[in-house]
Amino acid sequence: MTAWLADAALFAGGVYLCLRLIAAAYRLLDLWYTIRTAYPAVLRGILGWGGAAAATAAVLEGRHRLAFLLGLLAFLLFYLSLYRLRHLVLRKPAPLE
Amino acid sequence: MNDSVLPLEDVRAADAGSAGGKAANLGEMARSGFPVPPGFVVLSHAGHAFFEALGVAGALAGLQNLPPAGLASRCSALQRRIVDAEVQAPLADAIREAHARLMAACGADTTCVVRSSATAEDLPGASFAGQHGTYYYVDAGRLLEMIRHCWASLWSREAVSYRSTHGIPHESVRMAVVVQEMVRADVSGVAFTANPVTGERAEVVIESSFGMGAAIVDGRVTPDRYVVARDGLGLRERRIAHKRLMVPTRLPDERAERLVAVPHEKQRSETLGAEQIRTVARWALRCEERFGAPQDVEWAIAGDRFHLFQSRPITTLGREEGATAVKGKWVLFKAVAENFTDPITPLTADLLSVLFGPGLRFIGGRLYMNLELLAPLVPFEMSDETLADALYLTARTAAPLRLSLRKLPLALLAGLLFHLSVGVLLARTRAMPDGFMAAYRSLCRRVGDDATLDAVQALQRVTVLPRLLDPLGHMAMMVNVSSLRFAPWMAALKHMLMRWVPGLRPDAVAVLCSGSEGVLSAEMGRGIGVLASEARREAAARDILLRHEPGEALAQLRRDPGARGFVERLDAFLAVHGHRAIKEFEIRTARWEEDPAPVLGMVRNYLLVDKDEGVREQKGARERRELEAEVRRALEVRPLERRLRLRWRLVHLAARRARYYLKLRENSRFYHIMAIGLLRKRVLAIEAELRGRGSLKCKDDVFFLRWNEVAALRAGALGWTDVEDRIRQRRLEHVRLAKVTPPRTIGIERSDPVAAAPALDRLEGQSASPGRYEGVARVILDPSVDLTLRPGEVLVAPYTDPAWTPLFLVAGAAVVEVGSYLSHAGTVAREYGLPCVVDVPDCTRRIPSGARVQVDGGAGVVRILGETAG
Repeated sequence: MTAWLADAALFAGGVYLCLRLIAAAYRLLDLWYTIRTAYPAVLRGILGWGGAAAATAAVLEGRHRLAFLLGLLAFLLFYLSLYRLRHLVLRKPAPLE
Repeated sequence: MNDSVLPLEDVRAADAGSAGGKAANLGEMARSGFPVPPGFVVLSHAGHAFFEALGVAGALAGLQNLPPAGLASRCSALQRRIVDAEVQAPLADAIREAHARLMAACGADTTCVVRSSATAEDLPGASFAGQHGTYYYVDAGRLLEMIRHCWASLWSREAVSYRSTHGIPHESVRMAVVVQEMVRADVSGVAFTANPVTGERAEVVIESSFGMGAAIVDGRVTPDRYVVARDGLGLRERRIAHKRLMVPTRLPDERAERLVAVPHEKQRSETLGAEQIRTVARWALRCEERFGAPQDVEWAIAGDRFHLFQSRPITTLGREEGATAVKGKWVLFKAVAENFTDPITPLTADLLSVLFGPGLRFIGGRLYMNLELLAPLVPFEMSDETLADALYLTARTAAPLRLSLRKLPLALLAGLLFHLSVGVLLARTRAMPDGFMAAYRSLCRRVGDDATLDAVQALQRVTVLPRLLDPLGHMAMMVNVSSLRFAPWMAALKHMLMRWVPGLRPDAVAVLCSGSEGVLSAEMGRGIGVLASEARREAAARDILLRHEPGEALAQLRRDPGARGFVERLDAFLAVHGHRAIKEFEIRTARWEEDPAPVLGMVRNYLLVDKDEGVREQKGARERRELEAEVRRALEVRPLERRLRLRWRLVHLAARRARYYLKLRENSRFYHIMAIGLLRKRVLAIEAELRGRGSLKCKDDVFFLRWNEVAALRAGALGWTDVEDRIRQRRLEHVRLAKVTPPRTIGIERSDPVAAAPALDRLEGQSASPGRYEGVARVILDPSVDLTLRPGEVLVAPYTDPAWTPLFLVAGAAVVEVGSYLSHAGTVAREYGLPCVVDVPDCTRRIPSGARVQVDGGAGVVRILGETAG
């Protein structure tokens, strides 16, 4: 039970770190217009969150590492799928009468 | 004439069953000596016989229980059959004969108006206004075709739905047709023998404009408005509109535009003289006397002759309607209500709807939230009414909330999905520099130039459907979600201050959250101030702005070399803010870059008040800094605070974060509007194409179509005659909706306690910006027309958007009918440091211009202290 809970927590941790890593990577685009001055913060973000994810994966072993990596991967796939899913939620213009 | 066609004057009130309500009414008026234009009536049994001969009478009766989609296609097919069929010879001959007689009496070059007259029109409680066809400029060649169109309009989807909603059996309704001389009106309009908005019976309201009155009825032109006392016919109120357009009474050819420019010298002149106003009022009151109830009268003046076209009861008097046919439970979306205070046009609604999921919907031109969809996601035990109050952000939801374990799992799941969906965006927008969305302008340009995208795709591309490596694509829209984080920070700030500095002023939280740098709406106000300063320096520019109306001033400024500096600054201002406009979420509204007259009007206003705007700007930030120092001093008595400053750091952090998110929200709007501007450009290009082809006849008509109808017009699947009626009906509906207050909720049982009559001198609203102020109230309904706010006066407005910002620089305080803490009025008032109360129902009616008022922005209360001279 405890191991299962730990896996769940690590999965959630993987999701969270992936989310922050994507956000940090996006800041490169968001702040491109001022990258000459913003690059230290941008690099700090990418290296910080990327490093945290890599370090966590390195420290963990076996099924725990798998749970963590699955969390990372699951969120990445979920995030990419949002670009398609949005089309399903949005309305179309009213049909011709 | 045969028994199917009667001269108008032979029709009596008792003939309503065969001649329809309108014809019976007109016949009765003609017989009673009212100046009704001559004409004849094709009685309803002729239309019914035509339906029977065509074999559609049975099909018409079968429309009662069809679902909306099926109904639309059946109605459309039936209408097409009716319009395409030939009228049987005996009836056609009788109509031609009556028409020839009319021409002989009125003159060979006379054209006619062909008007429907259904037997159910103007039943008590039902008004079919605009749902049945009326056709102008009809000559002998098109007479029979237009009569068939009138018959067909009985079976338009709107008319069928309306009858179904009001329980009127389809088989009980028949259609007669009135053919009358089309009067060549110099001036025309409508008159109401009771105020249709306030219900006031002691006054007659007259609206008038040049040319044909149809333009007033369906809202194409803004008319002059006169309010006349019923007793003595004294003029109580006169408002002269800027009448740029009119509907001509003669067309050079069938393809000609139906809306033409009013000669420049007449645009701001009065349409009616004092005696003409009394004449209109007298005839309107005679109609009321004749028919025994308050009347809505259509009239015209041609030369020195007065004409009456219609008199009917004011069916909506004292009634707020608008959403009776809507199923489900809906709550007005107050957070965006200030953007949609006027109903939006059908095309805008249709296009903006593609940005929403199922939780939002436009009803009656206003945006509503779906309560049935939201209720299961709120993990508290709440009645629909309480939830509606919470969603509407009223102060009534102060009762403690009880967690619902039953609803909790779904709410948690929804919350999780929400955070997963927008988590990246929330993380990205935690701390961004002020200009981070500036690249959105070039994105809009790029998408605007992309011919592979239609208008809907282009709008979605720049708002909700970004590409993977084009993140700003939905930042402007989604940053609104992100900015909602101001609420927990404000709550935390409030909690800390109450606990650690309990004796602080009651509006401390609001003061600490105001005074940000970089609020774009405030910068726009500053930009206008800079333009005013430039105009003060350049005598030529100043003279032109003060001597000419804003509409004329621009051309003069561009011609005068002495005003070059001002023009360059104006162009620079428009390059940044030109995508903005009054009522800017409405695609129909011209942007400042198209028509900078409102900007020039604001500059002129600044020149007139001659005030140092900088003082006001600094006030909010200075007040905040003073309060911060006070809080810091007060915290120093707490243990370890002098050494660690931990509490102060927390207070400071919460205030800074709240300020950041509040600014983020207001600034995001600056970019939304770019997307609306992009959409408008696309729509205008399509409109030009359709008008060039003759598929549309009037400027702005395109905004009363739906997107797929526009597409069908472009493809040639629909033509002008297919959409003419729809446009007219929707214009009429738009005018009607603009006159009613939208209900806050639809389909939700309200148990409003029987409140004591509100005190006449005290109005309550929501606090939006702290501070107390006493001054003279000035009611401003439209910032592009009313520019008379004097320095220090209290601005009383129905709503505000960025176009109102310059008025905040000269106002002493602001009182606004709609809005919330986050609304534009609140945000700008906080930045400029003036007290502001929002969500004050009816304040523009209850507070008279010139009254002395006290505004308590912290408590959200306005007191009327009394009238002042002037």
